[in-house]
Amino acid sequence: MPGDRFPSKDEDRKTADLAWSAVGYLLAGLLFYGGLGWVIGTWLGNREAFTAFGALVGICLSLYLTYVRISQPSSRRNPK
Amino acid sequence: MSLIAEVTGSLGAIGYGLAAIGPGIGIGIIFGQGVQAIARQPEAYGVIRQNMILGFALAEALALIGFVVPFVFGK
Amino acid sequence: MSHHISTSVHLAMSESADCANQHLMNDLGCGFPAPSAEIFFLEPYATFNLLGMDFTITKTVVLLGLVMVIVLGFFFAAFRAPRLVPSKIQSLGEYAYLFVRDQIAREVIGKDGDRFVPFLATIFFFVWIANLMSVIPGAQFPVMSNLAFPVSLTLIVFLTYLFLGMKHQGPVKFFTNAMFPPGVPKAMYLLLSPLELLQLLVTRPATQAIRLFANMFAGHLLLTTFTVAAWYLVGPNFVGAFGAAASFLVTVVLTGFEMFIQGLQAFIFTLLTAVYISGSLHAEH
Repeated sequence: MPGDRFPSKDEDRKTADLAWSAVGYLLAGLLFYGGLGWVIGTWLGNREAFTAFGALVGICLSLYLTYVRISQPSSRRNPK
Repeated sequence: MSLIAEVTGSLGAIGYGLAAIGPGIGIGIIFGQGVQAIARQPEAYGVIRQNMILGFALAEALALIGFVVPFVFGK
Repeated sequence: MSHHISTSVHLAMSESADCANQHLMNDLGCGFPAPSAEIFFLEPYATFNLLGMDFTITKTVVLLGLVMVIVLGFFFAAFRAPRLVPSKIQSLGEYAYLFVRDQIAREVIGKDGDRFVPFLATIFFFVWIANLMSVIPGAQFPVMSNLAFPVSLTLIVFLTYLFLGMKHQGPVKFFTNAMFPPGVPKAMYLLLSPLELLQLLVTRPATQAIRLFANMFAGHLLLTTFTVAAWYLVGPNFVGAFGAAASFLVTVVLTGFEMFIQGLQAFIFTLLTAVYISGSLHAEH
C-alpha cells in the first residue's frame, strides 16, 4: 500500500479538519477582539485605534490557537 | 493643481482587491511548494502538512486584515 | 453623419431603452454597461399571498424545483428496480454513489462513514446540479448565488453535526472538548475559549456557506461581464471584430473553467460536511 508511509489516518483527519477551519479561527479572532475593541473604543471615544488594535490582537491570538492546534498531534506522539 | 487620475466609488473594495493580491500569491506559493515537498519526501508528509497549514494561516491573516481596514478607517 | 443620425435616434428613444443596446461604435455616451449585483435580483414571474406569507416565484425558485426533479428523477430511475446485473442508468447511479462513498465518506470519516453516505450524496448532487444551472443554456443562473440557499443547506449540516456531537460526546462534553484545547497555559483559556466557541457556532458554518455563495456569485458575474463585453465591442471595424471575438472566446473558455469550479465547490461543500461530522463523532482528545 502506498499510504502506509503516511501518518495514521486519525491524525491525518485532524490536520485536514484544521486546514479547513483555519480561516474560521482567524475570522473568529478578528470579529471577537475587533468587536471588543470597537465597543471599548466607542466607550472611550477613540473608535478607530481601539478597533484596529483589537483586530490585530485577535489575529495574533487566532494564529497562536492555530499553532497550538496544529502542534497538538505531534506532541502527543512523542511521549509514547 | 492638475489632476492626472482620479478614483471614485467604493475605494474600500479597490483597496481590498489590492490587498488580496499579496496573500493570493503567497498562498499559491505555500501550497505549490508544499505539494512539491511532499512529492519529493513523502515520509515527511505530516511535518510538511503542519507547516503548510501554519503558513497558510499566516498569509490568510494578512488578507483578513486587508478586509477589515476599509471598515475601520474607510470614510 | 452617422453620429448625427444616432443622436437623433437617441433623442427619439427614452434614456433606458437606448443604453440597453449600447455598442462601443455607436457613440451614445453611455459607456460600458458593466454588470453589477443587480443581475442577481430577477424579475418575479408571479407573486402571491398564502396564509399571510408573501411568496415570490422567480427564476431561482423555478430552477430549484427543476434541480430537485432532476436529482430525484435520476436516482429514482437508477435505483427503482435494482438488479444484480445493472442497467446503464443503474451503473451510472452506482458510480456516482460510490464516488461519494469512497472519495468523501470513507476517506474523511472512516469506518463509520458508510451510514452518512446517503446524506452526503444528496448534498453533493443537489449542490452540483444547482451550480451547473449556471452554464446550461436557457437556465444560465446559478441557484446557489442566492445566499439563502447555501445558508439553508449549511443550517441543515450545522444542526446535524451539532446533534451528532452532543450525542457521541455528551451535551456538555462536546462544548468543553472544543473550548479547551490541551497544551495551552491555563490563563490563556480566558482569551482563547471565546474564539473556539465562536469558531464552532458562527464562523465555521458562515465560511462554509459564504465559500459556496461567493464562488457561484463571482463566477456568474465573470461570465456575464465577458458576454456583455462581447456584445458591447461588436462593430464593423478591426477593434469591433477582433475585440468581440476575443471576448467571446474568453467567455467560452471561462464557461469550461466555471464548470470545473462548480464541481469543485460542490465537492468541497460535501467534503467540509464530512469533515465536520467526523469532528463531531471523534472527540478531539
